[in-house]
Amino acid sequence: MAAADTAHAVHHVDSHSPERVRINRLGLWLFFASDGLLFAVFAAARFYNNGTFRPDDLKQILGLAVTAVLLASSLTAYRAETAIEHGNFAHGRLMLLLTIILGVGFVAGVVTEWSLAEFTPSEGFGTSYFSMTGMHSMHVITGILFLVVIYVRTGRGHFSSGYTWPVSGVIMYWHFVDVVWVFFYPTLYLVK
Amino acid sequence: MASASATAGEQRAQSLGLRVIAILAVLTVVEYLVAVSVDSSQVLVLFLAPVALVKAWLILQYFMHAPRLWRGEGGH
Repeated sequence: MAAADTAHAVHHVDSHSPERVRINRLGLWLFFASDGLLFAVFAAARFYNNGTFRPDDLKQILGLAVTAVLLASSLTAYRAETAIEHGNFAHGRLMLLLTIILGVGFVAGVVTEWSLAEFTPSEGFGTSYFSMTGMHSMHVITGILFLVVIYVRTGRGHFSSGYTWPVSGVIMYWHFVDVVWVFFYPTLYLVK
Repeated sequence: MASASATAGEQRAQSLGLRVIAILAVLTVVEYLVAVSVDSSQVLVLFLAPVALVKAWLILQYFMHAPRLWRGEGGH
Protein backbone atom coordinates (compact mmCIF):
# COMPACT_ATOMS: atom_id res chain seq x y z
CA MET A 1 0.00 0.00 0.00
CA ALA A 2 2.80 2.36 1.02
CA ALA A 3 4.77 1.38 -2.07
CA ALA A 4 1.75 2.07 -4.24
CA ASP A 5 1.32 5.47 -2.64
CA THR A 6 4.97 6.28 -3.24
CA ALA A 7 4.75 5.20 -6.86
CA HIS A 8 1.65 7.29 -7.28
CA ALA A 9 3.39 10.30 -5.74
CA VAL A 10 6.38 9.86 -8.05
CA HIS A 11 4.32 9.54 -11.21
CA HIS A 12 1.61 11.96 -10.31
CA VAL A 13 2.03 15.32 -11.96
CA ASP A 14 -0.35 18.04 -10.91
CA SER A 15 -2.48 18.98 -13.90
CA HIS A 16 -1.78 22.66 -13.21
CA SER A 17 1.99 22.31 -12.82
CA PRO A 18 4.39 23.83 -15.38
CA GLU A 19 5.75 20.35 -16.08
CA ARG A 20 2.27 19.07 -16.95
CA VAL A 21 1.63 22.10 -19.16
CA ARG A 22 4.95 21.51 -20.99
CA ILE A 23 3.93 17.91 -21.66
CA ASN A 24 0.49 19.01 -22.84
CA ARG A 25 2.01 21.64 -25.11
CA LEU A 26 4.42 19.16 -26.67
CA GLY A 27 1.58 16.70 -27.23
CA LEU A 28 -0.52 19.36 -28.93
CA TRP A 29 2.34 20.31 -31.26
CA LEU A 30 2.85 16.66 -32.14
CA PHE A 31 -0.85 16.51 -33.02
CA PHE A 32 -0.43 19.63 -35.19
CA ALA A 33 2.48 17.97 -37.01
CA SER A 34 0.43 14.84 -37.60
CA ASP A 35 -2.70 16.69 -38.68
CA GLY A 36 -0.64 19.10 -40.78
CA LEU A 37 0.73 16.17 -42.78
CA LEU A 38 -2.82 15.04 -43.49
CA PHE A 39 -3.67 18.49 -44.87
CA ALA A 40 -0.41 18.51 -46.85
CA VAL A 41 -1.44 15.28 -48.53
CA PHE A 42 -4.75 16.89 -49.57
CA ALA A 43 -2.88 19.86 -51.05
CA ALA A 44 -0.40 17.60 -52.83
CA ALA A 45 -3.26 15.54 -54.27
CA ARG A 46 -4.87 18.73 -55.59
CA PHE A 47 -1.75 19.61 -57.61
CA TYR A 48 -1.09 15.99 -58.62
CA ASN A 49 -4.61 15.51 -59.96
CA ASN A 50 -5.37 18.98 -61.37
CA GLY A 51 -2.04 20.74 -61.81
CA THR A 52 -2.65 24.46 -61.31
CA PHE A 53 -6.04 24.38 -63.02
CA ARG A 54 -8.96 26.07 -61.33
CA PRO A 55 -12.38 26.82 -62.79
CA ASP A 56 -13.10 30.42 -63.77
CA ASP A 57 -16.46 30.37 -61.99
CA LEU A 58 -14.92 29.96 -58.54
CA LYS A 59 -16.29 32.83 -56.43
CA GLN A 60 -13.14 34.86 -55.77
CA ILE A 61 -14.80 37.53 -53.64
CA LEU A 62 -16.43 34.89 -51.45
CA GLY A 63 -13.07 33.13 -51.06
CA LEU A 64 -11.43 36.39 -50.03
CA ALA A 65 -14.31 37.18 -47.67
CA VAL A 66 -14.14 33.85 -45.79
CA THR A 67 -10.36 34.25 -45.59
CA ALA A 68 -10.81 37.71 -44.07
CA VAL A 69 -13.35 36.33 -41.58
CA LEU A 70 -10.97 33.56 -40.47
CA LEU A 71 -8.09 36.04 -40.16
CA ALA A 72 -10.29 38.33 -38.06
CA SER A 73 -11.18 35.37 -35.85
CA SER A 74 -7.48 34.76 -35.25
CA LEU A 75 -7.18 38.28 -33.88
CA THR A 76 -10.18 37.90 -31.58
CA ALA A 77 -8.87 34.50 -30.42
CA TYR A 78 -5.48 36.02 -29.68
CA ARG A 79 -7.12 38.88 -27.78
CA ALA A 80 -9.22 36.39 -25.79
CA GLU A 81 -6.15 34.39 -24.78
CA THR A 82 -4.19 37.52 -23.89
CA ALA A 83 -7.03 38.97 -21.83
CA ILE A 84 -7.61 35.73 -19.90
CA GLU A 85 -3.87 35.28 -19.26
CA HIS A 86 -3.88 38.75 -17.72
CA GLY A 87 -6.96 38.10 -15.60
CA ASN A 88 -9.30 40.19 -17.74
CA PHE A 89 -11.96 37.48 -17.97
CA ALA A 90 -14.89 39.66 -19.07
CA HIS A 91 -13.01 40.92 -22.14
CA GLY A 92 -11.68 37.41 -22.74
CA ARG A 93 -15.21 36.00 -22.84
CA LEU A 94 -16.37 38.73 -25.18
CA MET A 95 -13.50 37.95 -27.56
CA LEU A 96 -14.23 34.21 -27.31
CA LEU A 97 -17.84 34.90 -28.26
CA LEU A 98 -16.74 37.01 -31.24
CA THR A 99 -14.38 34.22 -32.32
CA ILE A 100 -17.24 31.72 -32.19
CA ILE A 101 -19.46 34.02 -34.26
CA LEU A 102 -16.70 34.58 -36.83
CA GLY A 103 -16.09 30.82 -36.97
CA VAL A 104 -19.76 30.21 -37.68
CA GLY A 105 -19.55 32.94 -40.34
CA PHE A 106 -16.63 31.17 -41.99
CA VAL A 107 -18.52 27.87 -42.13
CA ALA A 108 -21.59 29.66 -43.50
CA GLY A 109 -19.39 31.20 -46.22
CA VAL A 110 -17.99 27.81 -47.20
CA VAL A 111 -21.49 26.29 -47.30
CA THR A 112 -22.63 29.20 -49.50
CA GLU A 113 -19.71 28.58 -51.82
CA TRP A 114 -20.62 24.90 -51.99
CA SER A 115 -24.22 25.75 -52.91
CA LEU A 116 -23.09 28.20 -55.61
CA ALA A 117 -20.34 26.02 -57.10
CA GLU A 118 -20.90 25.09 -60.71
CA PHE A 119 -18.69 22.01 -60.42
CA THR A 120 -19.47 18.76 -58.63
CA PRO A 121 -17.45 16.60 -56.22
CA SER A 122 -17.10 13.98 -58.94
CA GLU A 123 -15.17 16.34 -61.25
CA GLY A 124 -11.37 16.63 -61.05
CA PHE A 125 -11.10 20.00 -59.34
CA GLY A 126 -14.36 19.48 -57.47
CA THR A 127 -12.98 16.39 -55.76
CA SER A 128 -10.06 18.38 -54.40
CA TYR A 129 -12.13 21.45 -53.62
CA PHE A 130 -14.90 19.73 -51.69
CA SER A 131 -12.61 17.35 -49.83
CA MET A 132 -10.15 20.10 -48.81
CA THR A 133 -12.77 22.64 -47.76
CA GLY A 134 -14.87 19.88 -46.16
CA MET A 135 -11.97 18.54 -44.11
CA HIS A 136 -10.95 22.03 -43.11
CA SER A 137 -14.49 23.04 -42.18
CA MET A 138 -14.82 19.96 -39.97
CA HIS A 139 -11.78 21.25 -38.09
CA VAL A 140 -13.35 24.70 -37.85
CA ILE A 141 -16.57 23.20 -36.46
CA THR A 142 -14.56 21.18 -33.94
CA GLY A 143 -12.74 24.37 -32.97
CA ILE A 144 -16.05 26.16 -32.47
CA LEU A 145 -17.21 23.40 -30.13
CA PHE A 146 -13.95 23.67 -28.16
CA LEU A 147 -14.38 27.45 -27.99
CA VAL A 148 -17.91 27.06 -26.64
CA VAL A 149 -16.61 24.76 -23.88
CA ILE A 150 -13.90 27.27 -22.98
CA TYR A 151 -16.41 30.13 -23.08
CA VAL A 152 -18.69 28.32 -20.61
CA ARG A 153 -15.82 27.24 -18.34
CA THR A 154 -14.39 30.77 -18.25
CA GLY A 155 -17.81 32.04 -17.21
CA ARG A 156 -17.88 29.50 -14.37
CA GLY A 157 -14.51 30.68 -13.08
CA HIS A 158 -12.60 27.51 -13.94
CA PHE A 159 -9.44 29.40 -14.85
CA SER A 160 -7.15 31.84 -13.09
CA SER A 161 -4.54 34.12 -14.60
CA GLY A 162 -1.97 31.58 -13.34
CA TYR A 163 -3.64 28.61 -14.99
CA THR A 164 -4.93 29.12 -18.52
CA TRP A 165 -3.56 26.09 -20.36
CA PRO A 166 -6.97 24.82 -21.57
CA VAL A 167 -7.67 28.26 -23.04
CA SER A 168 -4.23 28.41 -24.67
CA GLY A 169 -4.62 24.89 -26.06
CA VAL A 170 -7.96 25.64 -27.69
CA ILE A 171 -6.75 28.98 -29.05
CA MET A 172 -3.62 27.30 -30.46
CA TYR A 173 -5.86 24.78 -32.20
CA TRP A 174 -7.88 27.65 -33.67
CA HIS A 175 -4.72 29.30 -35.00
CA PHE A 176 -3.58 25.96 -36.42
CA VAL A 177 -6.81 25.79 -38.42
CA ASP A 178 -6.02 29.31 -39.65
CA VAL A 179 -2.49 28.25 -40.68
CA VAL A 180 -3.99 25.43 -42.75
CA TRP A 181 -6.24 27.93 -44.52
CA VAL A 182 -3.22 30.18 -45.19
CA PHE A 183 -2.06 27.38 -47.51
CA PHE A 184 -5.45 26.15 -48.72
CA TYR A 185 -6.66 29.59 -49.84
CA PRO A 186 -3.98 30.13 -52.51
CA THR A 187 -3.98 26.41 -53.35
CA LEU A 188 -7.70 26.40 -54.16
CA TYR A 189 -8.56 29.98 -55.11
CA LEU A 190 -5.46 31.74 -56.40
CA VAL A 191 -3.14 29.48 -58.38
CA LYS A 192 -4.19 28.93 -61.98
CA MET B 1 -8.77 41.67 -10.90
CA ALA B 2 -5.97 42.59 -13.24
CA SER B 3 -3.15 44.61 -11.77
CA ALA B 4 -1.84 47.80 -13.36
CA SER B 5 1.30 46.03 -14.62
CA ALA B 6 -0.80 43.18 -16.02
CA THR B 7 -2.95 45.71 -17.81
CA ALA B 8 0.13 47.34 -19.33
CA GLY B 9 1.40 43.91 -20.36
CA GLU B 10 -1.97 43.08 -21.85
CA GLN B 11 -1.99 46.32 -23.82
CA ARG B 12 1.49 45.58 -25.19
CA ALA B 13 0.36 42.10 -26.23
CA GLN B 14 -2.83 43.43 -27.83
CA SER B 15 -0.80 45.99 -29.75
CA LEU B 16 1.51 43.24 -31.02
CA GLY B 17 -1.52 41.22 -32.12
CA LEU B 18 -2.88 44.18 -34.06
CA ARG B 19 0.43 44.68 -35.87
CA VAL B 20 0.64 41.00 -36.80
CA ILE B 21 -2.94 40.87 -38.07
CA ALA B 22 -2.36 44.07 -40.09
CA ILE B 23 0.62 42.45 -41.83
CA LEU B 24 -1.41 39.29 -42.47
CA ALA B 25 -4.26 41.33 -43.93
CA VAL B 26 -1.94 43.29 -46.23
CA LEU B 27 -0.25 40.09 -47.44
CA THR B 28 -3.63 38.48 -48.11
CA VAL B 29 -4.84 41.45 -50.16
CA VAL B 30 -1.54 41.49 -52.09
CA GLU B 31 -1.92 37.75 -52.77
CA TYR B 32 -5.40 38.32 -54.12
CA LEU B 33 -4.45 41.31 -56.29
CA VAL B 34 -1.45 39.51 -57.78
CA ALA B 35 -3.53 36.39 -58.43
CA VAL B 36 -6.21 38.28 -60.34
CA SER B 37 -3.71 40.28 -62.38
CA VAL B 38 -0.97 37.74 -63.24
CA ASP B 39 -1.61 35.02 -65.80
CA SER B 40 1.59 33.00 -65.52
CA SER B 41 1.12 29.91 -63.34
CA GLN B 42 4.82 29.69 -62.59
CA VAL B 43 5.07 33.31 -61.48
CA LEU B 44 1.97 32.90 -59.34
CA VAL B 45 3.24 29.77 -57.58
CA LEU B 46 6.68 31.31 -57.07
CA PHE B 47 5.05 34.39 -55.53
CA LEU B 48 2.27 32.77 -53.51
CA ALA B 49 4.34 30.00 -51.90
CA PRO B 50 6.79 32.24 -50.02
CA VAL B 51 4.00 34.66 -49.05
CA ALA B 52 2.03 31.76 -47.54
CA LEU B 53 5.14 30.62 -45.68
CA VAL B 54 5.67 34.11 -44.23
CA LYS B 55 2.01 34.30 -43.15
CA ALA B 56 2.21 30.85 -41.53
CA TRP B 57 5.43 31.81 -39.73
CA LEU B 58 3.81 34.96 -38.34
CA ILE B 59 0.90 32.95 -36.92
CA LEU B 60 3.14 30.20 -35.54
CA GLN B 61 5.53 32.67 -33.96
CA TYR B 62 3.20 35.28 -32.51
CA PHE B 63 -0.25 33.68 -32.21
CA MET B 64 0.66 30.06 -31.47
CA HIS B 65 3.69 30.99 -29.35
CA ALA B 66 5.95 28.37 -30.93
CA PRO B 67 8.99 29.58 -28.90
CA ARG B 68 7.20 28.51 -25.69
CA LEU B 69 7.88 24.93 -26.75
CA TRP B 70 11.54 25.26 -25.85
CA ARG B 71 11.45 28.30 -23.57
CA GLY B 72 8.61 27.12 -21.38
CA GLU B 73 5.76 29.32 -20.24
CA GLY B 74 6.01 33.02 -20.76
CA GLY B 75 3.37 35.64 -20.88
CA HIS B 76 2.40 37.67 -23.89
